[in-house]
Amino acid sequence: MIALLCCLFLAEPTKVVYAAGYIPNIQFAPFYVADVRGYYREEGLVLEMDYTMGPDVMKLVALNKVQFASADPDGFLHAVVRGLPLIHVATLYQRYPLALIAKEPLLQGPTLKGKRIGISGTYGSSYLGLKAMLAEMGLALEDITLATIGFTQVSALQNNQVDAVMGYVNNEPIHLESLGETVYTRTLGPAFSFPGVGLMTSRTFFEKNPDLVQKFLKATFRGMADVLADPKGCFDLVVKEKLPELQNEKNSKSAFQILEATLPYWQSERVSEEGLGQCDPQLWEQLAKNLAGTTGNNSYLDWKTWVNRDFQSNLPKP
Amino acid sequence: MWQRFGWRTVHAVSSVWVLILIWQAIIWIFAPPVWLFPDPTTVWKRFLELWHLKALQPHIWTTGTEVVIGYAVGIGFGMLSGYAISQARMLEKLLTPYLVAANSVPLVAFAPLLILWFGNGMRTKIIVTALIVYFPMTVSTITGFHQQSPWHRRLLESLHASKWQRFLIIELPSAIPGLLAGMKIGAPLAVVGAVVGEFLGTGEGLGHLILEANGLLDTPQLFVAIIILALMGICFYLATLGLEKLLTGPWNHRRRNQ
Amino acid sequence: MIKFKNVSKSFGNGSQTISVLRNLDFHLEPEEFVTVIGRSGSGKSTLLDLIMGLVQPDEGTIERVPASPSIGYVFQRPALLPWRTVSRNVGLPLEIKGIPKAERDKHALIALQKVGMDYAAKLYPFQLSGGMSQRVAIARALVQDPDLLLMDEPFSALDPILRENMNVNLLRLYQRTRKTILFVTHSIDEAVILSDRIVILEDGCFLDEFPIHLPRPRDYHTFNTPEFAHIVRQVRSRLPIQPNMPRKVV
Repeated sequence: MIALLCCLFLAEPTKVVYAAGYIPNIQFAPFYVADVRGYYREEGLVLEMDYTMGPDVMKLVALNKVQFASADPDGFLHAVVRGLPLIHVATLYQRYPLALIAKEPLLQGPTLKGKRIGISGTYGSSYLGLKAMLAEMGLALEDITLATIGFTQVSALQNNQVDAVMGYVNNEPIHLESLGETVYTRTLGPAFSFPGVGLMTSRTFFEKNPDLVQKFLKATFRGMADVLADPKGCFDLVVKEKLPELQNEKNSKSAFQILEATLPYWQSERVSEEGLGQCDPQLWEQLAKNLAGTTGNNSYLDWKTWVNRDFQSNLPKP
Repeated sequence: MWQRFGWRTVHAVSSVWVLILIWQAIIWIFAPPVWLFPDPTTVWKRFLELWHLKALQPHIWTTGTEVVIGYAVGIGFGMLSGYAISQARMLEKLLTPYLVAANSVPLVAFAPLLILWFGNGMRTKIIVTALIVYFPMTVSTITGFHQQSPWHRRLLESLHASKWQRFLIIELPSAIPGLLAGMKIGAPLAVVGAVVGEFLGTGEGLGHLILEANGLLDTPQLFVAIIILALMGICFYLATLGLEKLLTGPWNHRRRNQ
Repeated sequence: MIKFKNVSKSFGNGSQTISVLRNLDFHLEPEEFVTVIGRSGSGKSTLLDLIMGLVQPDEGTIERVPASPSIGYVFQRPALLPWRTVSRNVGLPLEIKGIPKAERDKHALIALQKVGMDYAAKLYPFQLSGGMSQRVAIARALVQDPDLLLMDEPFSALDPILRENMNVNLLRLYQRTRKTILFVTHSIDEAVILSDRIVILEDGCFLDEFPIHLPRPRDYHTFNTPEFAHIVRQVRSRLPIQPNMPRKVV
């Protein structure tokens, strides 16, 4: 009798809250698929999604209000350098899908000079990406005109308020094309690439519940592997179970395009060799050097203190 | 007069110090991490840092300009349209529900639309600020111009005063309390309006400093920006109080119903 | 001097015309103190408006000597502008006529002296009591040295003791200045103590007229004389006592 009760008690699944840092979106397909197909349940977990926007999610994790969160890696490094007790445990996007976007083919050094480029703010990933891209082209910030435009990238470019915008490969170009515009994009080359969005948790949680962390990551990357293997099937599943607002034909089409544009970023040479879960450490090194250079603070170079790269998914390589 | 003014300043200054002490006490009791809730000294140090880097002054100037110009525009148009509406009963009956509705819609909902139409520059911020100030000012102006005493009107009628004389001698002075009420309400609102505009992304102004601090997890900077904004709002409000004292001080001290 | 001949006045339009004054004959001689007693609805306000030239009669004529007399007007409330000093309030009629400030202030002070309120020139209305405010209002009415003083129940908002006090002050003022005064009141005592002649206005017509043979100068003591009581009784007996009827619709 007591044994039965103990079993029931032990069988009680643990709730984990994941703060995605954005509104419900097809890009969270791995989580939705893993949830619907019971991967979390198999690990004894119950997933709850939290849709708080922006860098505030890191404070939520640091205060143990949520267990896991995703944020831009540069934001993550800023946070940990300031003392937030966070630890990065896995990478979802092998590269940061930053892109310079324009309606005309002017995304080369000589043609970009003197143009107006829109970024969301002088502190976030778009700023970081722009500076890296300019460096790649051999231009300096003074060679272009910077325009801070918040989150109005699509309309700003459409209305020609700017000549180009910094955005994400799997976001603004797709919206612009659906509005009938021709779109040209430019992404960062390997020497200037940075890691993409990943997963973090608080140090205390990581130290107290290392198995929970493993289980969560395992289930999540199972979901990702499923999406990579069968994008259409998983898309339909997610739309049916989690994102009914995408059942509208127009929304459905652009959402699927977003998913298709995202898939390459979940894959890389490294993933083909070693499986999902982590990215090339060289990318972290590049990011750290960049941030140390711009802020003059060498603490960034100790990125390994905050980035744990132990987790590796043992799934058959996609 | 100096006696009274002197005491008021002492009062104000000491209450500020009390607040700072309470702040420090909270830090001592709860020991929150710096990135969550910094202590007064850290914030002060960060302020000095930013000031020396000249990182604050241009933003304060930008937000200040938006506030002042937006306020002036909003108040000005509010007074004009409020007066016009108060003189036409039909118009007033027609428009009042819309004015009240416009007053109730939070500006945050409108601001992105305005940025879409007018672009991202200072002009839009001024428009946002002017709008947020305009509606309560108009309503207050209408009320103000209805405060006229019928006895005063009878008096000027009996003296065969012209319409213009009636306006200058009784309508306008009677309306001043209402006008001042609108101006007082508008002062802190103007600061809100300017910052809301900046929150949608400009790269300039105290609102931008707040966003930047948030993005870089620089909580001391966040506090510096917020405190400066609060001070700006307070100063602006005190200025309107000063205007009120100037205009109504001598005779409003103990108003009797005539 | 004012003379009304057969004056009628109605208000309203089309089917809803109300006759306020009907075939009224009235005269007011220079230096006369005449009181009109009338209940609410009897047409007193319209009478005053006609005299002031704010409305025109529908029928009949109004003769005025001089043709455009300057009129000082006092009504139930002092209606002082609270944001102006007493002096600037008193000078208001002159300001409207466009007279420069220095002259205005001079005349204002003289007017205030006449009512014994010159010390209050730099004060604000909120610093005055009810009686003081009303005296300032009278000074305002006197500031242009008017040909005619119209007083429409000026003391009705004051308490009885103060009222008696104001009556005596007005008598003394009249004694000194000998202005032509048309006074309107509900109070029979007040009418008798103040006037040379009482006219009773009822339902748009003059019901009766009383010369008052009390000798001047009159003062507090006059209230106690048997003649005063006798005249009051007489006037009271001639006042209509039935309740107000709705105005006749023409």
